[in-house]
Amino acid sequence: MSVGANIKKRRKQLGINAETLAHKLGVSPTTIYRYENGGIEKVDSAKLVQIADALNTTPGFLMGWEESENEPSKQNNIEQALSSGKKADKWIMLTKWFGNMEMPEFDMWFNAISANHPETERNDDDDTNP
Amino acid sequence: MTQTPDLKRAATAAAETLVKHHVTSAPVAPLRILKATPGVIVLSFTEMAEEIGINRGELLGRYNGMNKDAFTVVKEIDGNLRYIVLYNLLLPEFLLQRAIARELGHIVLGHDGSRPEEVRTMEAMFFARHLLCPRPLIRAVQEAGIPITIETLGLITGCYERCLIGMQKSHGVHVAPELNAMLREQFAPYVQNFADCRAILTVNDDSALVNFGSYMDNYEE
Repeated sequence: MSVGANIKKRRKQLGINAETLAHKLGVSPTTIYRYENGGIEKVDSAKLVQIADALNTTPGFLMGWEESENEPSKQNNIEQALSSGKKADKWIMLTKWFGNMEMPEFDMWFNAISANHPETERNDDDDTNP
Repeated sequence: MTQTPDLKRAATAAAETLVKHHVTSAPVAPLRILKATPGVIVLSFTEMAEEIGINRGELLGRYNGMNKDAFTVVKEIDGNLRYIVLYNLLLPEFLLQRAIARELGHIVLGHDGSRPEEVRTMEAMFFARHLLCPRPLIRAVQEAGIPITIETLGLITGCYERCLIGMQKSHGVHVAPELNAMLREQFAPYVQNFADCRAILTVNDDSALVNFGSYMDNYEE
């Protein structure tokens, strides 16, 4: 399913009209229809994050990478934070906030910034991470 | 998997970081250390916003309600933990210094989200205090017989009070004496400079600074 179709599907699930979504995003309803019907084929990553936010879902769902449309609730995050042994298989927030908040937008952002900001190379004798 | 903060490990990691990065003077520059740490991308909020093509306000708006000083996200990629640290360049220096030192703590301690948030936060903040205000530096200042001032400790007003409180709270946490000795030696030339020109030191009677001395008088490594 295309990004546009997923946006439309999610909007219908929430029972909101294109005008309401447009208002949330600060764009015209026509722009929403163009997203949904493929008139705008390429949705840039920043805009996709905004749309996902407005639709209470994740960019991954709109891209068709995730099956679940619901964003993890804060309660779930707190429960997750209290659990042990879970590795960071998704981008998660380490700094104190609401538990292990998942940050799916960083998948796209990491690709964008890692090309311009190569990390310091690891040395064989590196012992920074115990 | 421990669910309680390992403060000794945090303090030791801070001391090891100072040795590894050859920090020989104060104030410690946590941003420089962070940028030299493998597996980490460090950007200000402004730089990040430019990279991903949105404006800074939009980026901050996304994370409304969270720490506005700095934050770190982590993901395991190809078996290695990868970190992105974003920080607020507009902060006053002492706040930025503390925030960056805290984020550095998360990374040096290898935090990956597998332990409770409160635990890793406490460890990271503990690391930050020991990084910014190393006990061996205070001891070296004392041993050189020069006053404990904001210049000698290299601590900015607003920062040292919290460092002292942190040290007092962790009085029973000890770093290996050999590591402390290495750091004292590392800081010795820096301290000696002040011994040679003590006239430039502005001695004030700020109680927090005085308390550093009395705290160390009662501290046995």
